[in-house]
Amino acid sequence: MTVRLVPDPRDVPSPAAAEGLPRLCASPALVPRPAGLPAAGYGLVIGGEEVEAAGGATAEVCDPATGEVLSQVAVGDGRDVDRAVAATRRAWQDSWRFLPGFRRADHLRRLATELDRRGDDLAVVESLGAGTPVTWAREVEARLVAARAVAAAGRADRPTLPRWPGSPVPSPEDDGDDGPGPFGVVAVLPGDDAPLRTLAEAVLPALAAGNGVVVLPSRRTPLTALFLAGIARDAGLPAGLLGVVPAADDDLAALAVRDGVDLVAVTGPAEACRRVAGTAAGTRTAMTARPVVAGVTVLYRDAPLDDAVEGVVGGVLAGHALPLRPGPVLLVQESVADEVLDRLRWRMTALRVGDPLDRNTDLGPMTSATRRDRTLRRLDAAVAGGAGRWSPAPPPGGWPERGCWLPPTLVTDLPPDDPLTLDATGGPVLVVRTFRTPEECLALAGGVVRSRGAGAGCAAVWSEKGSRALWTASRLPVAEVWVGTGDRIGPSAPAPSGPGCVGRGVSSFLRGGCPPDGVTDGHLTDGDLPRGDAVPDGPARDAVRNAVRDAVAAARSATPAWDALPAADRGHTLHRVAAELTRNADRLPGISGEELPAVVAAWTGLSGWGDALPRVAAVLADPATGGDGRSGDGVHLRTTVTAPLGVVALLAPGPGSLPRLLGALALLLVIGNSCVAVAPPGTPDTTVAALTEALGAAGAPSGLVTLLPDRDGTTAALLLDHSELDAVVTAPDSRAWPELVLAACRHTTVWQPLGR
Amino acid sequence: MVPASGSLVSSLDDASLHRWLRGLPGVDEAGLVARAARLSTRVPEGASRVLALDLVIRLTDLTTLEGSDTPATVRALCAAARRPDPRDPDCPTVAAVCVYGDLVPVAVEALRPVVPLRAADATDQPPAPVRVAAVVTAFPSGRASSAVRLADTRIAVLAGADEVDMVIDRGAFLGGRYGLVVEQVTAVREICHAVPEGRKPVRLKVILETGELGDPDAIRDASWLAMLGGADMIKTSTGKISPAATPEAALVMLAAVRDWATLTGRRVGVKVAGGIRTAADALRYLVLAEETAGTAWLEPDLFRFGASGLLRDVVRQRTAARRPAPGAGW
Repeated sequence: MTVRLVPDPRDVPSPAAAEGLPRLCASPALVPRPAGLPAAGYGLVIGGEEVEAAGGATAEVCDPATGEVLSQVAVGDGRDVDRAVAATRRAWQDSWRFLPGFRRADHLRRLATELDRRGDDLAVVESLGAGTPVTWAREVEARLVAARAVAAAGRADRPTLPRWPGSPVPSPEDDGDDGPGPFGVVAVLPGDDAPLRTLAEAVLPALAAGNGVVVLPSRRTPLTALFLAGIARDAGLPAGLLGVVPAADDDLAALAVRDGVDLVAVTGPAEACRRVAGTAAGTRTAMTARPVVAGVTVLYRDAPLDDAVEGVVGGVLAGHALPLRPGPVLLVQESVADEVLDRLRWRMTALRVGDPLDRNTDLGPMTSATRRDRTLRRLDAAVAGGAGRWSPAPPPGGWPERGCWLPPTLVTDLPPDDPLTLDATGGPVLVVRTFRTPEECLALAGGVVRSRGAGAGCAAVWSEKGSRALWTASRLPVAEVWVGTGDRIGPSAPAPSGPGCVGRGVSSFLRGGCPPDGVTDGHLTDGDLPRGDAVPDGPARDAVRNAVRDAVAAARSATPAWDALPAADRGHTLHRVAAELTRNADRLPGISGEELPAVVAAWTGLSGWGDALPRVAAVLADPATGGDGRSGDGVHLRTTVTAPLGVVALLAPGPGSLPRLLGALALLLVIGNSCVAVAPPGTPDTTVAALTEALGAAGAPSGLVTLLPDRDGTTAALLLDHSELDAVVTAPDSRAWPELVLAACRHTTVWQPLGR
Repeated sequence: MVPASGSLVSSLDDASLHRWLRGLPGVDEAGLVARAARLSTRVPEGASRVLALDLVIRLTDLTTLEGSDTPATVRALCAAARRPDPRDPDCPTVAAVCVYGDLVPVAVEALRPVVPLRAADATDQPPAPVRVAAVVTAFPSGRASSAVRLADTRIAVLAGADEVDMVIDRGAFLGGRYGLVVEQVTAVREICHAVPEGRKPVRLKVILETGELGDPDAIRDASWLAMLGGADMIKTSTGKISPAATPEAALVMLAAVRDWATLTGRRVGVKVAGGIRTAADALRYLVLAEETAGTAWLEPDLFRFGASGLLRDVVRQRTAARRPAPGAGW
């Protein structure tokens, strides 16, 4: 488990410095700054016009490379957001909302043309404001944004796509008149890392879905959003439809969640997403989140090493893959660890760190000095704790004295729970760990990913062996896996990819287009959940807690075999349960005579669904445009691996909801989950016993389902306290089953490039 | 045979070589294309551009490989090789001229150093001598018996060639007869070293013809076999089939020579040939070489361009780059 070499006794010769030769591209290749860009001052964009902030507050926006002040920007408060929301709502009501899809598509196409035309300027603004190297900003980011606008235009005409292939359930909304429609006014919080890409990922699909948008950028990196608003105005987007109010970082949640805002779309660190979720809970504002979560890169010994090192350097150190990036942890198989580290150091030495406006720069500064200092403190603490740290020599002339610079850094021998490994926004830092067997790799990767909140992260897997790569990919608890590619992908799978909906494109911005809100942690619930610490101590509590613990442990051990059964066998078990229920109808006083047929019908009817759920669906897709369509050489194989979540806690929504609970139970089981279900208060104990008996008699594996009685809410509260649960579900009624199918599975999108 | 090879491979039969090649890290084509594309956005500018264009000239093998070549065309080529820019005496000479074996005596004669008649005419820094390279071993197909291939080489060497460009037997390589490939390279190398006392050994360039090899892993394998056989330089293509040199193939070969240097301490060169017509193309390859193998590779023994039409554009661009840009401070 240890890697030697860092700090490195052997001096890695710089590819150039080794012989004291001048480098080929030593002269600066600065991109000229267009006159008047960025402007000396920016106001808020409200109603299509530039206005002062109500409080008159302004902030200086600094160039992260030099610390030089670029612009004075007005900073809004609650009153400004209210004004902006009202103006956007007016514009939305007056035109956008009632425009036919093809007219909206026209607008977005014009926007795409304008974005394309001003791509160079957009890149310079992005580079100045966020420190993104200008070549990357122009060749990749700006082009991607224009491509996204074209893709969004295509979707504006048909915002609801048919559900994914093989979908078992036609959604009830699909045929009705009240199909998924726009939310209304969407507040977009783009986060301050890579603002251009995150902005485009939220703003364009939100517009395509028929919403109005108010962007609340961080006051530290607002330039891209403000510039984008100018482009939208020049492209003839209805005045006021897109408002921009830069705001202080700590107010964002409170500012975004307010009357008149129908949906908040947030991209940012997990804690920021949680803060918004907490503020939005119980209000009329819905929320969709894309947590910036750092995943892992797995490098097996048979990996194509040069390509893998390039992927790691591009994706992790240069941050090309933000907001989802497969770092900062690199898990490398021990037998090639030394060689990989050597190659990494060589490659890192060749990285050009410097002025982001230089065409030949690979790595610019970090976006904020606060973050840089936090990472530096953590690095120092890690080194003091025995970790190794390595960086290439500074560029000729040393680091600039001002600006937020951090050299690319390798860290080894780090304890597993060090905060460095958890920080997705910690700059160009790579933490290297070794593993010996694929199982150990999974355990390490699972530990890394889970400690940041399961299900939302991403990973990159490098192996020449397709079977091993897919084996790993399908077992990692993450939403996206890139096999054999590390940094080319604008991560945005339109396929269901678990929680974190912003990346799912247009459907995230339609009511009913996504699983219900509140799914950020694998939870599907409506309303407040009981909390275990509210239950008084005592023998009663201990008894319930033991019962809960046993039930979860039994469910955990029953899951693998149950999931491995052919779907038809699981369905057959459901059938037998239905038969047992019918036979024991007289012993079920908790279910009335009218309700029982519905329950039996659910168990019988759902028995075929296990088979219909596609475990793996693969298409050829182009990641650059979010998977819609293909554009030449960008084609990847996109495989969606769908797997049950594991152990699901199933709660009843209230007294008398036993039939609903049983219906949802059947659905969860047939997909391959195991369940610990809590009967609604007031259910007779005999009914609970009879149901348990029926399940046993029907041949359900022992432990697969435990039905716990609950007199006063204690059981539910203590169950939710249990840390080993994979998901918590409040039983929905049968109309929401399609959403439940999606929410009760882990959907991992695997991207694989094609090559000879 | 290079001295180190004994410790690299247990024996030179096909099976051992096959196992040895399988032990090398793979090359992923998708990643390779992405890397090549990434590096192609890098360009030397300003003063670096002037230096880089001079470097391109110094690294060029000025080539004519047509059936219609005559002694006159070869003489004209040699003149251009010595004075790539007739208007600028400071313009460096190219590295070599590359011709068919029968025209080697013509090129040697044309490039013979001019002895100044008076001592006062001698400059302090005589221009670097232009070498003569010959394509051998039944170029371009390599389809001839071993005896013919070796005789071809011997004649070129005796005629005074400083360098020879041989082709590998692609049939043998693709058929898995790796031992034969190594053996043929070794045999040619022996002829290159069997030169009379006082003459430097002839440098051996081995043409892989990457356009016929199929996938990046095969290019890597062929590179390693050629280096094992003792190549001084590995070369992408004959220029006679399409695709000729590609950035991707060059990248694989540059990674191979870098890894070979790490393993054995011996630096092998890379020559990209075929289809390189503009200065922009050439600069892109220079960037690839520097970023992949290192700046040390940017010298005539370790990196070459094989081209017939490239020089004209490079000279034009060089003239433009040396002219002070309007508004650049003057």
